[in-house]
Amino acid sequence: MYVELHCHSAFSFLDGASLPEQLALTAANLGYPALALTDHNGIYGAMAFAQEAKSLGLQAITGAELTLLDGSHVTILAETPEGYANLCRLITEAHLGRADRRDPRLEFAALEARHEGLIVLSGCRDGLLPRLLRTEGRAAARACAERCRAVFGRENFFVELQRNYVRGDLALTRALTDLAHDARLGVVASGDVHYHSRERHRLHDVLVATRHRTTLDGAHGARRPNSEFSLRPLEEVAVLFRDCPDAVATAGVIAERCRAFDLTRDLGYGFPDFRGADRTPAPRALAELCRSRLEQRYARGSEHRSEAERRLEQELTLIEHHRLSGFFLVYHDLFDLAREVAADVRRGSRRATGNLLPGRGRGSSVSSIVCYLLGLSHIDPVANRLFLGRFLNETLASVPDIDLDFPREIREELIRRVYARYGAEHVGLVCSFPTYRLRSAVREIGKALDLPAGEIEQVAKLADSRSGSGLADELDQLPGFAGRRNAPLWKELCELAEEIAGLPRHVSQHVGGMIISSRPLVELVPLERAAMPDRVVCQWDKDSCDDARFVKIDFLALGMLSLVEECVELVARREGEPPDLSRIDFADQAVYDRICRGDTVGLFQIESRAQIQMLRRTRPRDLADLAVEVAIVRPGPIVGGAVNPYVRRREEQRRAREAGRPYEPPVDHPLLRDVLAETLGVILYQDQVLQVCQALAGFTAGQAEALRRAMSRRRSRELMAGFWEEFRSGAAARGVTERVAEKVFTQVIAFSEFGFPKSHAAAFGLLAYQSAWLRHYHPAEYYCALFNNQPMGFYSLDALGRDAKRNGIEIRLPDVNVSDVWCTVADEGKGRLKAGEGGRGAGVVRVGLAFIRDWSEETATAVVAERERGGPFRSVGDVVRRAPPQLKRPAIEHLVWVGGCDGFGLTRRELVWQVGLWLPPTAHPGDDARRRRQLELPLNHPFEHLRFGGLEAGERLLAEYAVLGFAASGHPLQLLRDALPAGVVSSDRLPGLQHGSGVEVAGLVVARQRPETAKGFIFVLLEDEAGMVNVIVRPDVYQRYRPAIRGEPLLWVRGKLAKDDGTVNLLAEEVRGLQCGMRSAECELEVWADNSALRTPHSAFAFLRSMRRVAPESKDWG
Amino acid sequence: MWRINDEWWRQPIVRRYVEVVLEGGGRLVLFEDQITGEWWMQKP
Repeated sequence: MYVELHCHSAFSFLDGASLPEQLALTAANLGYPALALTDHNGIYGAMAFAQEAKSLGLQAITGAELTLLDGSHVTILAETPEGYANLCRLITEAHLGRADRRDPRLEFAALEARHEGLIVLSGCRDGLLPRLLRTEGRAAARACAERCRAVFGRENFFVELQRNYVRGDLALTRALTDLAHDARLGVVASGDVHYHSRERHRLHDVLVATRHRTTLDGAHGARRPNSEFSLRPLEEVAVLFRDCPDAVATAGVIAERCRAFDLTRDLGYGFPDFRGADRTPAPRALAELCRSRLEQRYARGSEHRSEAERRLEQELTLIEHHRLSGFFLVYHDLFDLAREVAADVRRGSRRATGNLLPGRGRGSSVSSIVCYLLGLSHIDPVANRLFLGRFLNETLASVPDIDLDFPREIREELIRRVYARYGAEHVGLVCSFPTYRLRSAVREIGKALDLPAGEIEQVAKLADSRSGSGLADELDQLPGFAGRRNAPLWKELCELAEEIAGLPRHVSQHVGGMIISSRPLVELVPLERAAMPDRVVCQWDKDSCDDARFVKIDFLALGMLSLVEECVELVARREGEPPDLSRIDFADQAVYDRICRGDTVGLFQIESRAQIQMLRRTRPRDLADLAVEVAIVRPGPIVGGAVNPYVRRREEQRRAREAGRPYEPPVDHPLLRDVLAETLGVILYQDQVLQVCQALAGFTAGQAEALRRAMSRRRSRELMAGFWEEFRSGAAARGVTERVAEKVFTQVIAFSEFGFPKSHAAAFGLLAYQSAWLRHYHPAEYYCALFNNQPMGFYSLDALGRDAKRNGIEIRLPDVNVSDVWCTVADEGKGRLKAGEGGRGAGVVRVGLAFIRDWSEETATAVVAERERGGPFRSVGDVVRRAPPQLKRPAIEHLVWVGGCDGFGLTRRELVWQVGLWLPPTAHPGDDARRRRQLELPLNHPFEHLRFGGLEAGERLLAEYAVLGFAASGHPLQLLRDALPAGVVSSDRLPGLQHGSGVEVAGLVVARQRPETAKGFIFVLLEDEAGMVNVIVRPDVYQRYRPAIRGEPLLWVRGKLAKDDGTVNLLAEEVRGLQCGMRSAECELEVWADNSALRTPHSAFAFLRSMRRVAPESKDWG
Repeated sequence: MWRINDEWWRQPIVRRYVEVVLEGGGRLVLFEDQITGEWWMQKP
């Protein structure tokens, strides 16, 4: 029976138009007994394919189509486990052996040297033999065929025959058949499949056009001539090859041989041993280490000692039961390595003595006392009553996840050291496959269809749906595009966007996953170069690595940890000693006062618009409250309806405490009291879900584990329905009514959306507090580090700079004679503040030169080095003469425009004039350097001393936005306030107005959010010169004013004020872009009587027009 | 025999081609337009 042995999926990037799952399903439906997946130079989709095929009862054959040095192709199939290992090595060699990582190729000699267990087919029309027939003739092709027979053996090399109704196929296959006969080789029929169904040929054409960066017309020569490259019904194959039935039968024979290797079963992965494995068995080594650490952490007689001992024994028993002792010890080795790395990275710095951890645990592993004792977690699980079951229990189905966060520099070096310790062949980073979403789909398909670029860009920007599959409906909603869904080309765009949704676009690096293997990893999965230099990724993503049961180590880079490192260092420079963040006062009410006011911009985890709103309602006062805060603004609690009850009960609890009364939070059933008391009767943490199921419905650890897995993988909703039956009957057995059981289960189901385990929330809550403490007591150092560690967090530099100002920190513009490469803390300011201090004069941050547009870090470093070598620059001519050649004229002009040369005593226009005298417009490479050398003698230029006026306030602000992307000298609304209609109020007036008042505001858009849980509501954060306004936009209002809301940097909003429990929001009724010459009666910038303002360069109109061009991008979420 | 399926985004071209040998030894390419059902002779 025929089997398809040559098949490409979408993991032949931009050459396959179907997912492996679609191919497997189609093959199964057509009655194929087996299918080979042979993507170009990789097995990216092989594991997903094998899993899907297995579930369908289809045999999955693992292979690849490799490109040889001369560009010809060969098809390789893995017959045995040894063959698979060789396949992986060959693919790795094709990738790592080339300078250009985007063009992997293999030497034929490498294949000849390593073919054991492989079956080789001669390839498609671009294959080894057809190419030789075409370019060098029959004799050369025959010689090659005979060589292949000699090297691989007659049983392992076959001549591939493909018939896809392409002109010349018949002649070619007959020539190949003759060749095979002469060389005494077998022939095999194959389909050169590139999509699962005929209709997909259109998408395939588009992908080919995209690959060649042209339109469909432009790709005419590269595209396939017809739609005959899909999986065929078996009868059709028989008819197609009726003159050579042997070729068809051979395919079945080869498939049968390949049964000897099953990717889902025969990988043979092993985790490496820990250091000392040769001396002590792992369980004993782990127990000894943990017990000795326990003595140090929990002194005899201390409050938590006996619970800690009990907990340790419980965990050691579970760990030994699952044979994970070695796993934990290897992690301990890695963390020791991290400690060494941190010490090396910090050596010579002042923070080296600051008792900073090398990294921090996150996630459910933080609940483990073994992790705590090994140093993998920094939160005491006993004192914090953290639930173990989420991380470790009797029925663990997979290796537990231990995620570690590091500062960026430490993580980079740690990854290098892990490679060095275990060997490059044993380590690989996990890859990821970004998939086509609506924007990318519209842009790429639109370009291929040659649709007008401007319209494509509009659709890409304005459309709301994330997935390409909603495009037709989106077009109906967009102004100017209604009715297009059936217009020529637009109709195709919509259909193809639907097909391409979810297909992988390219290979990328996963944020932190690494695989370490005792066996060479290159024999388990091919490795290739990542886009980042010195990085090698394996060809499987997180899901495939999970399916392969690889142990994935997650080393994540957390911007806030880098910020903390830098901040501590800066504080140490000022004070001589770094602060010990493990010993600060964690109950400092001054810090909590600011948090409760919502003064949290720039802090870790609690700075977003939604968090600020929540903080003003929940008012956290200790670390446990902060953990709740971190966890509560998440889809899990929100969809589960936990938020409002929690907030209400918090208020009740506060009032009860003030009155000296005890407070009992209500629970849905007494059985839940113990589990939910600390969160006032609602489910906020993911582990509470499991505890609730155990307490209310008697779930065993196994059922709870199965439920947890169902919550985290795809299709979890369908699986959840199955769990309802078990839950209902378990609850009934405990005397719980169905009504209560259903109510609780609904909350449980909500956590199939995302929720945090308590351990994770506790770890993040601690870091949130430490960030708040640092900002409160060392604001200058904090903001300096915040600026230097962007991008991170919820806000742009522009918004952060203004928040700094509100906290008494002056942000000073770059100065060529003062600035360093990055931001620095100036010596002025009060330094360490006492409790309650703050306000003006708290400190000064000087912006670094590398922040200037067109200045790179290297350029800035060179300028600073030159200044240190040769003394301060004396004039702009001196800058031009001494600056490194890579600093081009536009970059110098940017420095001048933003005030970087103000110290030379001339106006900025005069300085730019001078730059122009010394340097011509940038035209020829090499010119600048030559001209600068001519300026060695400081002769005066005849026009050097022409006078020009200074910049107006508006011009200075525009220059800052254009050059830095943020403004330090003010807010645009300051300059527009007087020109706004009288009814427009500033944000600081809003708290004094009544709930329900009609108001108008105007501001710069800082952030736009469209959370999935918000049912179509949009949240826009506006900022004016006095502060921020949270605007809530209903779906109907959004539809009416969508282009403005999505596209305008400055908005005018009219709406009703909503005040509730310390929060102030504006419910929008009308939203427009703030523009010049608006004709709306409700919003017209005041015009001077003679309209001259329209043409005056310094008018509000002129400023606004320019401001729209240079306004910083808002941060858009969702 | 060979097939063409092109320009689906504009005016689709879907054809089935055959190259035939005439009695006198000459060769001719014919194609069937699979949208209209008409047969055409391709000029050399």
